[in-house]
Amino acid sequence: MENKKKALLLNELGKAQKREGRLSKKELAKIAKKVCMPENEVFSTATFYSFLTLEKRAKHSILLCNCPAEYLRSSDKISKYLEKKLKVKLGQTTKDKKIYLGMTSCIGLCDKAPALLVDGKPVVNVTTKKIDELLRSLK
Amino acid sequence: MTEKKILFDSALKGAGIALSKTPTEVIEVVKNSGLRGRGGAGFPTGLKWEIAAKSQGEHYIICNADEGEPGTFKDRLILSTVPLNVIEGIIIASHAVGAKQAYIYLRGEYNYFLPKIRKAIKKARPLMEKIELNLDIVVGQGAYICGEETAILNSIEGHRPEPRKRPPYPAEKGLYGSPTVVNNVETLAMVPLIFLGIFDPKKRLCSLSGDVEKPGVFEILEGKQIGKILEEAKPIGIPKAICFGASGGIMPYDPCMEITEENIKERGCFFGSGTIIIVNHTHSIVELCESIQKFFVHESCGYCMSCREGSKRMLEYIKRISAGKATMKDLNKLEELCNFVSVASFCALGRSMPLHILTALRHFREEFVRKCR
Ligand code: SF4
Repeated sequence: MENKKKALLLNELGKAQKREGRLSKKELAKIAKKVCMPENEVFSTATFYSFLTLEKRAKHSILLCNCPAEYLRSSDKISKYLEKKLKVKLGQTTKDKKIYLGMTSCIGLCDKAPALLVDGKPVVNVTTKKIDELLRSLK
Repeated sequence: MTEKKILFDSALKGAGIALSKTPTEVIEVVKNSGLRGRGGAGFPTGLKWEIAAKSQGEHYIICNADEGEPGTFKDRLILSTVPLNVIEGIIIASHAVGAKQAYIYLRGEYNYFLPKIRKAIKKARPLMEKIELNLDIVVGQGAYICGEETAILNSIEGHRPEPRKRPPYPAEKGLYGSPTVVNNVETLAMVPLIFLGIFDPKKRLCSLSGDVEKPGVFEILEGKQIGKILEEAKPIGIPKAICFGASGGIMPYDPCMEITEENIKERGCFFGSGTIIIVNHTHSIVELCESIQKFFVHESCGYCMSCREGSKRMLEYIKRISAGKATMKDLNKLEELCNFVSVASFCALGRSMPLHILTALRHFREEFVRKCR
């Protein structure tokens, strides 16, 4: 029974991250209790994953796929364009805390490269024009 | 006779037939089918099940839907067209080894598939109840290493997903120390087809991308010429090299080469997950290696020194070569480091990490030398 609860940890962390935009100390303690694990271990697990954060990152997230197939389809041009438009570097959040620009391991959309994950949803065959539209819609 | 198509919708029929057999019979059928794991290592599936079934303890089945190998997207196609086949595979495996609990470990990047998978599970519920199987979904939170079969165990147990020492293999001592079968999405999706009599072990799915007009998932028969596949996919520019994902190596493009594990191995590469990325004449192999190495620096789990530090030092060398600032001595140092990392790393990720550079140096050495002083 206890084992089954542990298997819930990752789902719980994911849900909390989605709800609050981050994992606060209080939240982590609550989850630890729920899954019957020590708080420090929950903390150690939570800090491993790239989708989970302790601080609030931003309202929206734009994740670039870092795979070589994307690179061949000039994803670096797209990432440079995004960096210029948002005035941040990969792995940073815009000054107004609105958009986080990051990298993720292959999102499995290499046949529709370049591709992005915007707030968890895929955006494919990205062009600079599409990015302009996208940034306008992310209010 | 139904056509032997990989993405054939079994509509619970395969699982229905399997559940009318005894677990031992099911294992025998799967063993005789010649099905091997499609995730990379290619271990015979029936044998894995048999080992787990014979091991003592509570049994678990894990469907590894954390396919993160760059350039691989066949699982995405399977989950979106025949998700029920995967669930059937899980049910049949659970019946075979006597598992009452199964997990689907879905990568966070595929979060948007959740409704589809839940719907498929709902459809399969009567069969699951028949064998008292409980099936839960665990959603990953963005970590490539979770595709490794022991890292996935730690992840589900709520620990940091660092790989475990093998042996013991998960089939003997896996989740919570109990016998656990870890199979990937494509492998499990093949299982119901075996029972429908339409499984062909020589046929597999291959994700083709890169410099082609029509990238996508291709069903290929072992021994097909790579040039024939490219005729369908329509290359952009002149194909120069084939890259088998980040950890499969790079080799020169040869239209007459027949696609078989042996042919690819002969050239130092590895076809494990069925990934083909076409690279054309406009791209530099050194820069391609740089982009692959960046990926590894991002994904090394940090557990062992040789991979954690080695990956970064390797990237430094490649960057220097790429920028034309390296000497021949640097190039030799890089090669030495690659050889070291490929034996000293703890898990398959670290050990296969230098392969792209080593194969690139074997086949495209002059591109590196030209950039060195
Ligand atoms: S080889 Fe790399 S990924 Fe594997 S355990 Fe070591 S640091 Fe982690």
